[in-house]
Amino acid sequence: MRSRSSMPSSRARARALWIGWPLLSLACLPQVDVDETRVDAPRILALRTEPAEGQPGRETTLRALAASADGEDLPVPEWAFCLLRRPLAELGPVNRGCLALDDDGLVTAGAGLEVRATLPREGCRLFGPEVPPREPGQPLGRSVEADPTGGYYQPLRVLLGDGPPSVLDARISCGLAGGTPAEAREYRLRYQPNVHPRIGAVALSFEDEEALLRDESGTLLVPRRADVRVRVSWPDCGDSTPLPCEGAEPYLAYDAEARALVTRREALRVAWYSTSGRFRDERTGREGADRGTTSENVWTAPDTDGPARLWIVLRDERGGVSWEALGLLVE
Amino acid sequence: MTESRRLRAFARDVLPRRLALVLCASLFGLASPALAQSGGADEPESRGVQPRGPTVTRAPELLRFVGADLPEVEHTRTGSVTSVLRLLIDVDGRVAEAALEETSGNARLDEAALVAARAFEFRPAEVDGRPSPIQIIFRYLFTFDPPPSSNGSLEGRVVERGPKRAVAGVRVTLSGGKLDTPRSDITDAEGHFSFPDVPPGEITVDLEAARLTPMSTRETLGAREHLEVVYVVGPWASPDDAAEGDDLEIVVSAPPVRRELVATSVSSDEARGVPGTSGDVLRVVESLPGVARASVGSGALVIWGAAPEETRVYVDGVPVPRLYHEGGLRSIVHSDFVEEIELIPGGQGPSYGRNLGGLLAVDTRMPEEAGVHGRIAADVLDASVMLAGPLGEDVRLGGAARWSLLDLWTQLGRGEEIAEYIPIPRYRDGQLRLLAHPSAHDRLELVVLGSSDRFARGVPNADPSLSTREVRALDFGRIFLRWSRETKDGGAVSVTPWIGLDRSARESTYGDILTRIGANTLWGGLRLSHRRKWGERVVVEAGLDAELSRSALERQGSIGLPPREGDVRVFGQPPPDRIAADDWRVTTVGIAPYAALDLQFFESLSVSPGLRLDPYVRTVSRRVPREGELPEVGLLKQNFAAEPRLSVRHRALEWITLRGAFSLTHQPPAPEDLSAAFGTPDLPPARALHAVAGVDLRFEERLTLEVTGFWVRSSGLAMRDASDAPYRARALVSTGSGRNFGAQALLRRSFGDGLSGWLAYTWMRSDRRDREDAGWRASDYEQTHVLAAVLSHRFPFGIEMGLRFRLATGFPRTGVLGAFYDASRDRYQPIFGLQNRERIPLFLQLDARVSKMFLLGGTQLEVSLEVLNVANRANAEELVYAPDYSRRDVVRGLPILPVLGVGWRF
Repeated sequence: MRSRSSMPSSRARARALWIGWPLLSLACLPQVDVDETRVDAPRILALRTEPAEGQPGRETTLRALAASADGEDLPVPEWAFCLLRRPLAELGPVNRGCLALDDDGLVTAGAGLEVRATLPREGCRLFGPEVPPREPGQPLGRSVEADPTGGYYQPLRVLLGDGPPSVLDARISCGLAGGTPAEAREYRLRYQPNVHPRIGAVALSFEDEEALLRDESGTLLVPRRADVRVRVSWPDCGDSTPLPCEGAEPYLAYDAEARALVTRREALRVAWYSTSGRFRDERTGREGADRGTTSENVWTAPDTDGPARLWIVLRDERGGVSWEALGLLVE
Repeated sequence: MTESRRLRAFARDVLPRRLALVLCASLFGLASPALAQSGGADEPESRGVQPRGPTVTRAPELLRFVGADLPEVEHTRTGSVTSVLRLLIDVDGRVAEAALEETSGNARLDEAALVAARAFEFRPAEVDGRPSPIQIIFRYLFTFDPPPSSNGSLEGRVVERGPKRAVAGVRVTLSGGKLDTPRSDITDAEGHFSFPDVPPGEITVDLEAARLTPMSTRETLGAREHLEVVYVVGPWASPDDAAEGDDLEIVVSAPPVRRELVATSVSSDEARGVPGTSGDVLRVVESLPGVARASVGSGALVIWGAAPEETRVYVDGVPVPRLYHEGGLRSIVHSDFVEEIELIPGGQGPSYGRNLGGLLAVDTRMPEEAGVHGRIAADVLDASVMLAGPLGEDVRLGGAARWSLLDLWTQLGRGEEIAEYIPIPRYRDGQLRLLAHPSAHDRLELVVLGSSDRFARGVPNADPSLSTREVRALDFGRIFLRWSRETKDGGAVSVTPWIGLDRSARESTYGDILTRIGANTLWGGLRLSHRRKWGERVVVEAGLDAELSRSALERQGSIGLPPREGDVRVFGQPPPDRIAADDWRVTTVGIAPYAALDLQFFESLSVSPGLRLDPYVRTVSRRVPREGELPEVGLLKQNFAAEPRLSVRHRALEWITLRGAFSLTHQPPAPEDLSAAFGTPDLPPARALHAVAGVDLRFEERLTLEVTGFWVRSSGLAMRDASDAPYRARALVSTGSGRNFGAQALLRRSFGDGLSGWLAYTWMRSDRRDREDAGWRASDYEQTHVLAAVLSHRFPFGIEMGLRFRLATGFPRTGVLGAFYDASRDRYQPIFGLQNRERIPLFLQLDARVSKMFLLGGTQLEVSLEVLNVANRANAEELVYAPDYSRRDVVRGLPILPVLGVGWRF
């Protein structure tokens, strides 16, 4: 389990200052830290499509995890597919036009925390390996490159009230690009579309492993300023055979450098959120080579009494996502 | 300071230019030893005023001097005259009476002296300890300096061709021009001769000696110019071993064709003491006009707003991939091997090409002291050793090596944890030089250069998708053989064949996005040059600049890395996670013949037209991205460019020179841009047009002001395709264009009395346009104002002190208006405002350096202390944002940083 903080320790900084060579300018780290785990205004914490990897032209279910500090007055998420391709000169995840309130390239998909919609048919042509139609007298068009997992994605734009927009890259099945016909055939046969990871269990305990108490309604009780260890686990996907699994799945991908199909394992990331108190790490996770099936964090309760709400969002490397919410009472 | 000296200083300050009135005040008959000494020194004919009555216990002291208001006609006088006055000073120290005791011979001066003296104020004299009136005799001395002479000086050495040994006993005679009579000097044991106070203009120089064929040449001396020359004579032997009648010759070489109108040269001697360079002479480039201040640790060379890759660096005419090691802390050549640095920001001559921006030419040398010499040095950054010595008659061998110590300090401090966060550059370099004089006319040099850099940094994170790591490596080597000959007709020939190897690798990891670029390049080249004089007023140079390169490249990862000029991004932003892979080979052959003339008209006008023909052929192994098992299909592309160059120099007045230049250059695309997956294999070359105009003012012998305006227009720049429907194998398009314009000024004072320095200021605009229908925007490399002031002084006893002050506008950056949530990657992404409309805050820094040379037997020990950022100003180096872009701060640069260095020269 990785437990290292994301910032240099004070000891390291002190040593760095003593060494005193020029590039220690980084010791003068800028003060731009914000607590990304804190939920103090309505915001979207996660978005997902079901299935996790859909087919263009097929129906899908769009789900949002939206949260606010008091759990009330959440605006209704508004969903739209974006059909604008990102130019090579733009380095963001989507075309800037996808962020507009209204654009010809946006196709409304519905509103609500859960929406049924149909994935655009042209997904693999606009955002996948299919070569765009050739204009007369013009060179062949350029297809879109896959991400490191070999995936292609249909962008969606989600608005939550007057807040900043959110985008989701929904994974779509478009086959293999760049390989030989034999590799493409093998890929079609062996590739298993992604499935969402599943949070198997969430265990809370104090640092000395002592379990938390519950009140008569079953709500977990936490003393003020107590450090609570939060451990999340997911299913073990076993050996390296690509099979549908709700943990860190092995999956088939094309290694363009080695020019061969290879089997990789998903990395899993956990994002931690709370309405009060503070998590030690904003995100934790396991790299693909790490066979562990748990990830943990420490949540420090606030120094004031009252209810607190925690959210745990588990993401896999191919766009799968699941979440869990917990209620606590600080006293 | 004595009283008379104070008065002299005062008078010099208050009186009009061209007239220095020096007052000599003597108080006679007073018992003050100090005054008596002063008066005695200035006035041998002192006449005393005996005190009346009791004893004078304190002499009156002049507190306020008033300069005489001279009639205008007297301003043209020369020499000196004295008015002797009798002054009665009252108990308040005022002049109660003033009378003429002895005339100066000029009634108007006498009257002016009286009027001035009546306004003097004194500390009253004391008699028996009490203020008392007193009468004194005051000598008012008028000294009229002659008008400043416009004469210059000529000095030089006569040396033997080949080993460059001094030739003594040569009679050097000046005649002609404005000289009334010929003047002669005989070279001393060092071959040195000197002619101070020579009228400006063209003069004839004759060299004669018993065993030399008499030789005559002409030199043009500017007003107040100090001209240094070296005359090379044929083989010289002592009279004892010289054969009878074996006359020797004197060759006056054709001067290099003056093609670069905006070249700033700094000798290694002058550069060594500049603060902020840590004794590295090549780092003085950072303080020259036209050069932007690079971010700490980047070492990028940004000249006149051109991107770093548009500027070329040459060592002895051989291109090298970089001037500085990774991090910009050190240059790649040992300082003892550097003769001179020449920065040519634009308007270059035809001998160089294949660049859109400026060029930097480093001339190296072999330390030519007799015997074996060396230098061992170390400071916080690195350690180095240099050794040079004879390897036989007329053959010398020298070598130098340097290695960084920063990683050692990290290990000693057990700072492995730190090394994960802070980039620790590791570098090595070495040079080997063999110099031979196979004959009296020939010089042969074999030079080997090598450099190696390793650089790694990473920021681990509990979230694997946020872990970052970057590794960079660059090794390169050059071997060249340079043969040069001075021909009997005064010409010069040089031939430089060279080979080289570059190996670079760059790997960056951002979460699961791995980007890797590797390139191996084999280089070969040939540089030929033949220069000769045609008559008295024409110098012609013709040559060839041939280069061959064969690169094998491989690349994998994000198509958005490495960043390019024009990318809209913020510092630390993850790259796009769409990835590709490619491997390709590029072969480029360019053979560029060139010719240049230096035509002299009317003794004041010099015109240097030149032409460079730059054809090249390029092959790329893959024209479309790799797909399945399809065989790769390459392409061959050729291009021909004729590049005219012109420079004009006109000496309008003896102290004013006007300059103008024009040049057209082309730069082939970088092999890295010719990938079918990441770039465009058939990118055309980019072109740039430079126009330069300026004026040089010479105020006095060592004080000059150069003001230069420049205008640069470039086109065909490779940019990322902004279309949302790009074509295959067209990730880059040559639609970019640029315009850079501005002016720079260089006020410079050279060595002579131990004081030297310069003030360099550049104002400029550097704009880019991504395509024809787009608007102009600021270039990523624009710094509107750049100022550098350098001052150093050599004191007695081997002490040298220096200061450097720098001011620079920050580079432009694109502001962030807000952010949106990227739910797939679980991070916020920036929403940008208009491109490059914001800037990193202003940079201000003061650096200081002091060094002391100790003589230890026949060796020298130098101890230096350099303090960077003396004021400990928190300069901003980059803008950074909070993860949700709700806050912004800056990465701050160096705090105050002392660097102690020690060097032992033997």
